[in-house]
Order: sequence, then structure tokens, then C-alpha cells
Amino acid sequence: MAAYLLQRLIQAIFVLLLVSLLIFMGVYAIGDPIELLVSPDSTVEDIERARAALGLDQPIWTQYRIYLIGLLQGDLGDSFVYNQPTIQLILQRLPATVELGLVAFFFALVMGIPLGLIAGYYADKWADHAIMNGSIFAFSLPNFWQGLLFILFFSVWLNWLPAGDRGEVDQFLGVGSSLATADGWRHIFLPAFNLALFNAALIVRLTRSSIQEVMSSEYIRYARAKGLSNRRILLRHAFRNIQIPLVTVLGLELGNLLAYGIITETVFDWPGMGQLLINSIRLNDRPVIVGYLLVVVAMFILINVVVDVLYTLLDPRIKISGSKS
Amino acid sequence: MAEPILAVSGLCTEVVSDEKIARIVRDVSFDLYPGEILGVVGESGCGKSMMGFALLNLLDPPARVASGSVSFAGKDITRLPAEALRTIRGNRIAMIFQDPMVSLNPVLTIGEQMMEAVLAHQKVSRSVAKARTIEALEMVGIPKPAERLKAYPHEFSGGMRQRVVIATAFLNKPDIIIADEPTTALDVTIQAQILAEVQKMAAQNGTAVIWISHDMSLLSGLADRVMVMYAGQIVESGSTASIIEQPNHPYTRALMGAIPVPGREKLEILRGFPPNLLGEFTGCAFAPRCPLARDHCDLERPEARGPELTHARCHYPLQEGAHS
Repeated sequence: MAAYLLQRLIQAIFVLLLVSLLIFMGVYAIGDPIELLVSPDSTVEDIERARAALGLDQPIWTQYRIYLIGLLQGDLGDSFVYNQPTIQLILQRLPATVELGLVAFFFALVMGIPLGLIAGYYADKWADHAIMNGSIFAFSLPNFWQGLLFILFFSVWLNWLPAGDRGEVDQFLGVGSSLATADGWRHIFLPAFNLALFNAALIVRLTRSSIQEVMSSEYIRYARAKGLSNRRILLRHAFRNIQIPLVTVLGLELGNLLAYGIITETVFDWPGMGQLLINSIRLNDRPVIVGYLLVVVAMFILINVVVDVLYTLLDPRIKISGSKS
Repeated sequence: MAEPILAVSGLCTEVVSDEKIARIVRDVSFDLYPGEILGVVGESGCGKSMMGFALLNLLDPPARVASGSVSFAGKDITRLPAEALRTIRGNRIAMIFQDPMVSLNPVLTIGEQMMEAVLAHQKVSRSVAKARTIEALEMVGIPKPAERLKAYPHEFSGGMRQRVVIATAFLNKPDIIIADEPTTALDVTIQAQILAEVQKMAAQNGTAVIWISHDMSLLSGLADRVMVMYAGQIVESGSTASIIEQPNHPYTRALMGAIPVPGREKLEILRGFPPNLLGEFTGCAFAPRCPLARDHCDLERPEARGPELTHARCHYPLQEGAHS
């Protein structure tokens, strides 16, 4: 296990280096950010001075080398636009994004798995058809449009929930989070639900097809021959066997929810990392773009390791060893 | 003889696909008595396994029981509501599946999969269920059973897994055990031990056993009575001794002829395969492969003779040379 984790750590470092190089070069290729940063009436000397101050007058390899040296010391560089350390900008917005992603993930789970189990167990009955048709709406209607409809219904017409922004923030599990306050929950409900719907629909479909497949296997027939209750056959024998494919997809979905809630964050004016990324791309703020994506990649790697460890807990046939790649 | 514990009458099963209907089990009738070991023998694909599943109403679509009845304790199993059926399955009638590699759930422990069979039917504590599980594992010769309860199926060999499945069938001391070729994967020594246990259960507890096999020589030492199946029909049944010594149906004789025994120079090989079960037979189902078939065999279906089919389903039974 320790060997496995060490191996994964080394792999992760390589992946992060490669990603940083690709994005650094990619952003450089987009163009010179200095035009967007200086005021339009600056003189040529002013522009050159600003360029030298940001280190943009150096050759690209020198720029990357300087960035890398900083990175190895845990420094993601200063934002061109805000003149603040990138890490500080990200950490300011990370809790809002993480709490939205986690709540959305939770909603997707509690909606998706039970509905998927019902649809799979009653395959081709009316309950299955109703759930599957509903799931088509959830994942084929555009996310932003669903969000706008929610605002129209629940905020404008019914006036039940706020249309946007994050609620009051209080200490929760040691970090400032809006989940600690009732107002925070009122604010997070709609965006989290909006973000969850698409993922819930995917979970429903995956759970349904996996359950259907497992229910036709010989050990389920044998479980029936033993006279077990339907409930036990479904929840213990069948569900236990579909947890592996489920966890694989759930890991990917969690990563997506944490990293790419941008559209929902925009629709609901949620002060998360998504807005920071959009602004940074618009202004070609290289340190923030690279820094943000490195954080996202690190989250994905972490989630994948957790998924791998979960496999060994869910399936006794799988053993983790340091030798396999 | 006592009242039969199981009475099967006119049982037919079919598999429907693409508007074609394959009739796998055709009009099977027999009675099973307490303490009796009934062997069912035939080639692969002659409907033995499906008949076994049909007896517990365990067929999944597209397969289903088409007609007939299976009466157990005064109730017809093919028409029983789900909950009543559940209380019979694994409790009064237990089944041993054919392939031990796929019949156990790979992600649950052996102990859980056995104990749940007790707990599903009896209001006993977990420790009682555990004690019974250990006892049943001892009966089938699993060493140190108490330590093996936490093991998963993949940690057991195929033979060990099959012994687990067999032990599970013993757990609730059922009235009937339906065993579908259960010892095919086992060593002969373990097989002998299991056959002895089954015979003991039949003799001591009055458990009736339906033992499905393609192995006539195994049944000769185990079964009280043998039914020979061909193309979904019972073509002959009778006491084991009479079937072996005086087979009436040419198919039975062909099965016997394929067993290697000392002194037999050359095995008689039965050519061809069992027929396609999609259509109706115009004559005897076995006629195309029968060495003794006459013209008449292709034209008219032979009927079962006697209420319990003690005679062969054949126009020209071997022991009745005079009959024509």
C-alpha cells in the first residue's frame, strides 16, 4: 500500500510538470498579455517597463524556468491583473466552489442511486419508463437553461429561494463555509440542484444498466433459490456488485463538479473559482490560468487515488500493489 | 407407499425468442416420495436443468413454465405468489446449482452467503445460524470451517466452492434437494463423501433428492429410481436396477453402452445429436438416431405407458420383443 501511494505520488509530480509545461506554452501562444494590462494611453517606454516588471521580456524558456523554480518552492507566481499571489486568489474562492461541488455531488447521489436501482429492478415496467424519460430531460436540456428556469420558478415566481450569490459564511469544520448557516443553505440549494441534475441523470442510467446486468447473473438466481427477500437480493447481492463501476464514474463526476461548475457559477453569480478562471482567460492572466489548472489536476489525481483505494475495499479480488502501473 | 412429497404433472417449459418458441421440457410427469433419491439422466441439452429450475419456479424470461403443475404440500409451485414461494425456496426445497464458479456472489463472504440462507427462513440468532453453518461445512468435508467463514469465494477452489453450495442446501434440513450435476467438478473421493452424506440425509431425515446427472454410472450407485430424459421428454423411468439390467428404451441402452466397464472391449457410440426443439415431432424424437427404428417410428409419436411411466416411451420396447 505504501509503495503504491509513493508510486502514485511520483506519477502525480510528472503529470503536474507536464500539465504546467503544456498550459504555460499554450497560454504564451495565445498572445502577449501586456496589451490588455496597460492603459491605452501608455507610452512605449511605459509598456516596456511593465513588460520587464512581469518578466515578459525574457525568452519563453527562461520564463518557464523561473516559473518552475517558484513552483517547486510552492509559489504559483503573482497574478498579472490583481497583483496578488495566485495561490491567495485561488484559496479565496476554492471553499465556495468545493462546497457547491460537494453539495451537488451529494444531491446527485441521493437522487441518482435510488432512482437507478428502481429503474433497473423494475426494468421495462412503468416506473422504469418514467425515470428513464425524466433522465433524458435532465441531461439533454442545456444546463444554463435549466438554471434560468429554476431562477424563474423558485426565485421570481414563487419567491422561495434567492436567485444568486453565496449566503452568510460561518465556521464549518474549521473553514469558512456557507453550509454552517441556514441562509447559506437557502443560497446553495438552487445552484447545487442545477449542477446535480445532469450528474444524477448519468448515475441513474449507469446504475440501471449495471443492476440489469447483475440481476441476470447466476449468483442472483442462486440467491433467489435460497429464498432470500427481494430487498436483500437487490440491496446486498446486486448493489454490492455494481459499486465498482459506480465508484469509477462517481470519481470522475466529483472531479467535474469541483472543476467545471463554471456555467452554474455564472448563472447563479456564485463567487467560486469558475468566475476567476473566466476572467483570467479573458485577460490572459497566465499565472492564474496555469495555477488554477494545476489545482484542478491535483484534485483529479487525488480523487483517482481515493477511487483506487475504494476498489480494494469494495472488491475482495482486487489487491493494490506497488508493482502494477 | 406413502403420499408423494412432490407431484409433477404435465410440466412444459418454453423459451420464446423472435416469435419462435422452443419447447424445452415436454409434458413431464412424475411423483417423488420422501426419502427417495430420484436420478434424472440424459445428454446435455435434453432439458434436465431447465426442468430442475422449473420445479422451483426459477425460470427467468424469456424462459417460462408453459403448462402443467408442480404440487408440493398441496400447493402448486408454478402458481404460488412471490412471498409464499420465497418461504419454500431454500427452506423446504433447496437447490444445488451446476457451476460453482458462478453461483456464489464474488463480493460477499462464504459465511454471510451461508448464514443468510438460515436467517431468511428461521427466527434464530446469528450465533445459532453461524453454528449451523459450521456444522454443515463439516458435513461436506471442509477443514477448519470456522476459520473459513470470512473467506471470499475466489479464495476457494472450484471443488471447495461446490461443497459450500452443497452445504448450503443442507442448512435448513429441506424436504427436497434438487441437485443439478453437483459433483462434476469434484474429486472422486470428495464426490464419494458427498454422495454418502446425501444418502444419509435421505435415510435419516426423509429428505427426497432429485439428482440430475449425465453420468449413468454415478446414478447406479446412488439413486433408488432413474428417469431417462431425451428431447425434453421422459422416455423411460423405473427402479435403478431395472433400468440398468433391463432397459426398455433404445436410448437408455445407448447411454448404458457408452459407459466404460471392465470387460467391455469397445464402447458403443451413439451418433448424432439431440433434435432441434423448435418444432413438434411427427414421430418418435429419438427415431433419427435409433438403431432399431422402423418406418412406423417416424410417423406416430409413442405415448408414455402407465400412469407413472414405468414403461418406455417407445413403439418397440426392448424387453417386449413380442409387442409390435
